[in-house]
Amino acid sequence: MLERFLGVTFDRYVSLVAVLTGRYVKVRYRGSVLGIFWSVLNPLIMTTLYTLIFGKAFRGYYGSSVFDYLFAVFVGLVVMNYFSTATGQALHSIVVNGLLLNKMRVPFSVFPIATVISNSVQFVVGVIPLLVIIALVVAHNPLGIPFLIPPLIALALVTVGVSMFVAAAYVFFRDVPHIYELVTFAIFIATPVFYPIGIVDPRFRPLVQWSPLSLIVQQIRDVVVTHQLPPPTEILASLAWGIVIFVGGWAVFVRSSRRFMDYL
Amino acid sequence: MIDAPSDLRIRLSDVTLVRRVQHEHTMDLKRSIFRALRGLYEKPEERRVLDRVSLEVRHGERLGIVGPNGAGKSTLLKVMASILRPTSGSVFVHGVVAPLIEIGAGFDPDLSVVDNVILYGVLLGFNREAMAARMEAILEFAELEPYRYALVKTLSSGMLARLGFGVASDIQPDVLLIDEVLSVGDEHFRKKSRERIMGFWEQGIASVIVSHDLSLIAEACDRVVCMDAGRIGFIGSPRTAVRFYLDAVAEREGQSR
Repeated sequence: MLERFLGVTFDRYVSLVAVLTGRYVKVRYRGSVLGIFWSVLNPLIMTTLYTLIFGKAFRGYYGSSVFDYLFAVFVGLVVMNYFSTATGQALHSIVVNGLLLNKMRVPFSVFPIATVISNSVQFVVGVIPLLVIIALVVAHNPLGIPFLIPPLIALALVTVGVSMFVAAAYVFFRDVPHIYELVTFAIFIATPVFYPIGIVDPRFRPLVQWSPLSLIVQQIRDVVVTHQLPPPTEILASLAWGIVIFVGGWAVFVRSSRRFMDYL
Repeated sequence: MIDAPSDLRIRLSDVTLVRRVQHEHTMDLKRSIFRALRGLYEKPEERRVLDRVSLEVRHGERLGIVGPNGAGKSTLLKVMASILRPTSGSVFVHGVVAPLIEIGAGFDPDLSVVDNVILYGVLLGFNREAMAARMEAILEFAELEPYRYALVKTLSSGMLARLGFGVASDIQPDVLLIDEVLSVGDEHFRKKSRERIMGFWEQGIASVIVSHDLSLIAEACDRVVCMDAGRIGFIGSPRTAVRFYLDAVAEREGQSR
């Protein structure tokens, strides 16, 4: 069953994903210790920028603490950064390997999956330790740390689902990267990353609040910044989103992959 | 495959492959949507690349494939290598397949030679440990021992071809699929790679060879297929098949004149 779905034996699938993940990680960070911290450096710089510009105006929504605003922005940025980088790279992963797929028998899905995993490695090594430190030092919330797991699982599911979808779409339509760039920007603006949800027009607020990435960001902020435990409804809602997007993305990918070779 | 004889290696039955033909406007989502809104949706244009091809290759046989560009030679080989799935018909291939098809497509220019041997080997279907164990033999055959930690992008195209052939051919296959790769590298390496292939042939390993080198085909093969617009135009002895092909070319030239 699993073998039919993957197209090869499970062992072969795992060794393909492992070797490709190793390759992506290696090529990206060859010889640079700074490389692995780039996933932290970029959000740090952006966080500083947002705090300098919006900190004073928005701190009222964060218990009048500019620092809480700063940490809230940082959490939002690392999540959005991971999501848009991983999906943006996965988008190209099938088309870039078109030549290879014409010469060797390799299941299509290993390329987007390995791309997402290599980005996750970076996230796990660079970002998660920082989140845990902030939770311990700033929010004094050691009991909340296990509650980071559900939103991170949801984030992985959402990212894989969207990656599969855009990677498949790009095989058929070569203007998808331009369109997707616009979409990721729209998602960024529609997620309360650098602004408080309180400033959103109450008519749209539920829409913004219950969107998948917004739920994930919100839960991590609860643990890391405001030393609360995330509400169960939000945990369940984000996992439900994760599963729906994951399954939907795979379904589109598997159905359309029968036609990939005509376009590669 | 109940009735498959034990020495059967490849059997294609009525293999037909239909592929979509790409146009610029159909590859553009924005334009496709606007065209659809204006009611201009058109069914994707399709082309029959292989048309009811049936053939068998047994252990000990060497089958050549000739034909003009676009007749379906390489496509046929890709179907045998399970790279392309036929639209209809069935494909049976027995045992370990070594596809020597434009080797080198799996290399990453930004990785070292050693890393690429592992990467390429795993893409071809071997596990990491097996590749690590065969590393020295592969480097030695490709004559690239001094370059093991060099980035692949710094290798010359001849070295790259040697490395690709070295990895792809360093196995004990049941079926060998060869597409225009007997002419890689310099004269010295060409001789070496031919010797390796000859070694496989002496063991009787079933082979399918696509080439434009008609003298090679005539010399090496027991049977030759001449492809003609996706169909088997002729199948038979090398000499007759090559003559059939040359006649077909001459006829086409006569027509266009």
